[in-house]
Amino acid sequence: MAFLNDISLGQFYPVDSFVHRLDPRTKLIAIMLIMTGLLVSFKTTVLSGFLVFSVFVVLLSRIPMKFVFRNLRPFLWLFLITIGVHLFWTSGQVLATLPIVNASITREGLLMGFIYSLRLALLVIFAALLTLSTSPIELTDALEKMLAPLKRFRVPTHEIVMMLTLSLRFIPTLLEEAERLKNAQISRGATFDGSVMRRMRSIIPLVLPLFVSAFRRADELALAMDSRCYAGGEGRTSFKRLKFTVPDYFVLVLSTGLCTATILI
Amino acid sequence: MRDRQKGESDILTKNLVLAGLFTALTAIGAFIKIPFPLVPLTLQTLFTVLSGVLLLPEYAALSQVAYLILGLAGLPVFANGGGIGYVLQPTFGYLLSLPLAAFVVARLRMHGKNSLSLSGLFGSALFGLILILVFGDVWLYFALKFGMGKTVSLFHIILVGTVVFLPGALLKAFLAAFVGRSIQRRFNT
Repeated sequence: MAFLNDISLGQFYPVDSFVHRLDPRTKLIAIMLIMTGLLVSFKTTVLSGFLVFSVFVVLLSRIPMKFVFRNLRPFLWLFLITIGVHLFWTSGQVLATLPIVNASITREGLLMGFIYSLRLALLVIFAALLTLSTSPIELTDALEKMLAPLKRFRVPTHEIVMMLTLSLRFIPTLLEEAERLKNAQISRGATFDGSVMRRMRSIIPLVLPLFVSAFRRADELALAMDSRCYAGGEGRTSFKRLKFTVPDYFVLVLSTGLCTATILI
Repeated sequence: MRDRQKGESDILTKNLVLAGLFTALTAIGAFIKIPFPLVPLTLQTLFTVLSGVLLLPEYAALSQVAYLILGLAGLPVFANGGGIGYVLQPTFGYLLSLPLAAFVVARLRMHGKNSLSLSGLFGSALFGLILILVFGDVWLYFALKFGMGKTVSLFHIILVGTVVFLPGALLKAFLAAFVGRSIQRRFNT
């Protein structure tokens, strides 16, 4: 669970770059446009264009390549299945035939498998770029601003964003508390190995106190918020104001152009 | 969200903060694995149904919606990381069902006359847990059918995806009822 400790930073890679300085709303909108473009493109030429573009953006963001590509790992089996399915189940020019199962690999299948996996990989890379270059607090701020129109449909956007912010604060505290409780139990002679039943029973003196202390903390926080007259999102102002600047407009126009171009091709 | 009236506001603030707490607990729960016969047990869905046991229905559902947003926005709170790309995973249905399950559990347990009865809480929690599994299975079926063009029998998926997890679900439902009731008594939520 060690990596959860720095969850308040998420994957955020803090350097100063053109991509980092963009308004988080710009980045969210641009990513959605690029993803739409990716989802409608099936041609190898267009996809290789996107590949070059993604490498360019990574270089521009000054985030090391390995941090970006690390995000592809959880999808590895999905790539393999995608390639496998297309490899054997597409009809066309036969390249090779497997002797025992009598399945044939076709040229078209190879190409389709490659295109589908490349598309998936590009989607993952662009999504990763967003979180690598934007801190979670910036993201929640942007989300609150962008979701605001949904309030008309009685969606409680302020409440949702407040929960996000609160949980970002709670996660490190809870982990710290769990570690403390674990050490406290160990110092009293508790063990966390042995048979299944034993391990299960050793979890209870960990979970119950964790719950009680977490609830007490939440209770105090709610009281503190109430005594400072917290009354929901209505008329609330923020300390850090988001503002669009010239580069933001540039990126928005560019990504809109990219999206329409791929749809038209 | 309903309009706030005098005196109600502090109850709602408390629910809001507790919902944030459950968002955090659900995120952490995905990483607490307990070895269990057949499949390891994670505490994630335990916290999902507990949010239903302890919060108002809307807030229980919102706490899970917030969890999904947190993960989709790219924070590594899902079992295999996070990111918008997660929508493409065939198993996304299990995550998508969490808000629904939390809402249903909260509704069910408030339905009975005595919302503190252990059996009532156990029943609602178990129903919520089974809902997650079945919803996820059906999603997986359609994801495999339309996403990858592979048809697997739905009966098979439900058999493998639900029956294997049932002993764990029973245990979690019992834990949720037991822990939920003792916390309800202590903090009077």
